[in-house]
Amino acid sequence: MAKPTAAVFSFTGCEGCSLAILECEKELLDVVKLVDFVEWREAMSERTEAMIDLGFIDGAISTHHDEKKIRQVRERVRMLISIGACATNAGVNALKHRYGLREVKEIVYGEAGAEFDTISARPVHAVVPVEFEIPGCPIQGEEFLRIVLDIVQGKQPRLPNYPVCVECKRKENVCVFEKGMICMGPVARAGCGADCPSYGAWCEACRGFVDNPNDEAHEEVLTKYGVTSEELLQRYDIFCAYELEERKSRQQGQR
Amino acid sequence: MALLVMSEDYVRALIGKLMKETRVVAPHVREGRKQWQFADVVDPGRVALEYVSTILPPKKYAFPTEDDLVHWRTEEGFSAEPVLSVEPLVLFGVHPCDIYGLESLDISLTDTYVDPNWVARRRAMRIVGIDCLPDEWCFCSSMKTCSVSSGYDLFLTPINNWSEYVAEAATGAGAAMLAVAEGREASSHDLAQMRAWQNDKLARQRDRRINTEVNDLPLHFTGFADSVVWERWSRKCYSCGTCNTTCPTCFCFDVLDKLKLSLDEGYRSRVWDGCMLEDFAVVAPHENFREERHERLRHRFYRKYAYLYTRYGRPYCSGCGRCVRQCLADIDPVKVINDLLTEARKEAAGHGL
Amino acid sequence: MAYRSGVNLQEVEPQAELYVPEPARIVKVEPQTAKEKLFEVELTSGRALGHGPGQFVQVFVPGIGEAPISLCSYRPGCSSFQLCVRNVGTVTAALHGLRPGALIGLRGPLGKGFAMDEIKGHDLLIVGGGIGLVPLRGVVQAILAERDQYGRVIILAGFKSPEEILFRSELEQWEQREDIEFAITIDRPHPGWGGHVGVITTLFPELRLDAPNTRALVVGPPIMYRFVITECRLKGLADESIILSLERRMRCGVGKCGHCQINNKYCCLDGPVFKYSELKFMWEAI
Repeated sequence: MAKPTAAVFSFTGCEGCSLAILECEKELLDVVKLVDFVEWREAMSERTEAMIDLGFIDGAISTHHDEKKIRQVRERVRMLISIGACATNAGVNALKHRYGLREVKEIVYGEAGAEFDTISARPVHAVVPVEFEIPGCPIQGEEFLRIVLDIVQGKQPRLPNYPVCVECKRKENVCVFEKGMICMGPVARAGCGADCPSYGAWCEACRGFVDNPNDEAHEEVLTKYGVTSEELLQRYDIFCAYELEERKSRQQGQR
Repeated sequence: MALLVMSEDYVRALIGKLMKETRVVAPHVREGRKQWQFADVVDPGRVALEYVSTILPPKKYAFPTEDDLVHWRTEEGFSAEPVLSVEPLVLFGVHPCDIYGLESLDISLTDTYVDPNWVARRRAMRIVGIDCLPDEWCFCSSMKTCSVSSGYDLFLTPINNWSEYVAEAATGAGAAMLAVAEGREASSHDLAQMRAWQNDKLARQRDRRINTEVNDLPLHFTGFADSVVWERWSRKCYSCGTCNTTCPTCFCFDVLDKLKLSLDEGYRSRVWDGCMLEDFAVVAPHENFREERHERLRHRFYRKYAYLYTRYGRPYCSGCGRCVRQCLADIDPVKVINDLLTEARKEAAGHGL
Repeated sequence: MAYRSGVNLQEVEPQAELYVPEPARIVKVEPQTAKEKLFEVELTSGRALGHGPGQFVQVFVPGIGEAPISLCSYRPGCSSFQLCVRNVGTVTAALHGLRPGALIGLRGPLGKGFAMDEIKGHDLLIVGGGIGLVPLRGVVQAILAERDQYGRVIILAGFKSPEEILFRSELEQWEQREDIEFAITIDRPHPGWGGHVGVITTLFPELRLDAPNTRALVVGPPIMYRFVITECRLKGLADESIILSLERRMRCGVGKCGHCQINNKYCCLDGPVFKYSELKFMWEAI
């Protein structure tokens, strides 16, 4: 079987996920034995016009230019894989949805704002079909490698569908709530190894929610810890603003 | 039965002596809070002798959160070999409930098929037990696990307000520890204090009890399958599996394939799993035979107090209280069981019973 | 009543190879249908597997993973054995990609199969739906090896469509034998199919059974169990006389990992073959 070709394409984001792949330094030489990278702005100057087997996308779709470009990329990629919170969930880019677009432009760019091409931030899957999504801000190198291995082997990759608490407890961390902080861990998708709580921070759900988060339970617990619903929404908003919008419109659709 | 009364300093000195020979792990304060963790002893002075409960039970030393079981390669055909790392270990300061937990896993992990990694590590393990006082979550008196009569080499009971400990050796290894320890002979007054300790433990749980005899739980559970109680409590449940992860008698696992990037070798590893997690009972895409939260909560309780109780001859709950102590939603087995009993009695009354 | 006491760990014999797959070679691959292939497999050590009908093995495809697969042959004295595998998941898909000569890993035989000694001397009603016929094929082979040990043998086979029929040539042989009463049906009418049409329970009205002396061996999808068990009971069969084989996803196959637990039973250890009387109060069974 011929070695599959791969490329990384960056959209609106910090390109930290693209960097997270480069940071798999020890493994990269083995990875390039499995796939041929043919285009990757952050790592190489070559480009290609040919069909690409695996296309990794980082960044959200938040300009008309992004939208046009992702449609073109989709045309020449066999398997499209979103990587990172921005590409899978619109990430922090969707925070701007708290405001009107005009207001956002004005806050960020002042009078020149009107010139800027910015639209509502969307994940890649909201614009073109994607074959798989690797969440996280940034993605975990180890998980990325495992998923590349799965794909190369023709195996359906899987993400954990359990909350961050599982990995947090395995590390024997004192619960973030015990320290007077508010945590999204009980509803957030694991796979990060509970890095944030392990280093004294709270979980911001950068990998999105588990398939069936118990929001009612979470609201009840947060209320018990004295959190107002506005504060609660702010917690949910950081990485999951778009996911919440999506869920809301889905629920309305069901009704 | 060899007995010795040791001061706290002598106990710590004994830890120091054991450390010269073997790796010693013991409870330590975690992150400066009223929470504890079994960890390698570096300084015997920092071992927490008076503690309530560790976040994870000591089973992690024989059944680590992730444990490689098999190494395979395909370089020349296909070959596979067992993987096992084991070293002598002293577990110092284990509470009776956790000793009960270790012994319970000895039963289930050797029943019919004998788990090699568990048995090898348990054989290499010496246990020094220590007695404790319950907090508001412990329910060892209901589970009859306040004290244990086996499963340890040496056991320490605090007396004179934690200033001294009565050390009792139960095995040759325990006697060898006593032989190098310093202390004084036990008096009849000391022994009376030991007995008083047990009574105090029971007394402190007078208001925290399961409203039936533990022996009757499997019988009661034959009637709880359709109870409204499951749905009621599961509404609060995150399905985060914290109760599974922190449980000393849980032993379910998933098996991961860890393939090397070279593609010609890999490891098969077991990682802790939990029946409360949503995907635990998935058998095929879109087929989950415990899809609903209340079904998973019910399964966990049935497993603890009925299924494994009847299968292995003891409840798979040590009353350590970790599950509720760590549960954000305060799902308390004592309250759940008492609710089940209350509902059942109500229903029986409805039938004129 | 005291609790069961702990285990003396010096007295148990750890099974070092408990989780270690044993090298095995695929000898032959025969396509059965669009979804199923029949694999002839032998252990590279030459050791005979020594399984009974209804038992299973954990099949490991290097780099992909492990899955429980029913053994579908029973040929004492033969060093190879057969696995009929439907391409449904990662491991089975990888298996379907393998050719004769490929090496895989195996653990087993595992589980409690059909207790042939208990059903000897009885009339047998064997009911297989779709791939449910896979474990039953070994049972039929075992019966035919000592045909005189059993009473009447009635085989009912049901498939969704003619394309899904498994073990075609073998079924034809069974059909032709004088000492087997054989009937086959497909769920819905199909061009070119001249045989019986209808779900498997539509074969029941014709049956005349000596109920107290009959044992039913039923394997199929969960939905089939509910209806077939009802039919068997209407024919007067006792719950102890209805024998089923269940399917769950196991990780360990040896009663440790907890994944295949059905109420109080471990599918891998106490089953996969159960009497209906053992399962009837288990809400998770069928």
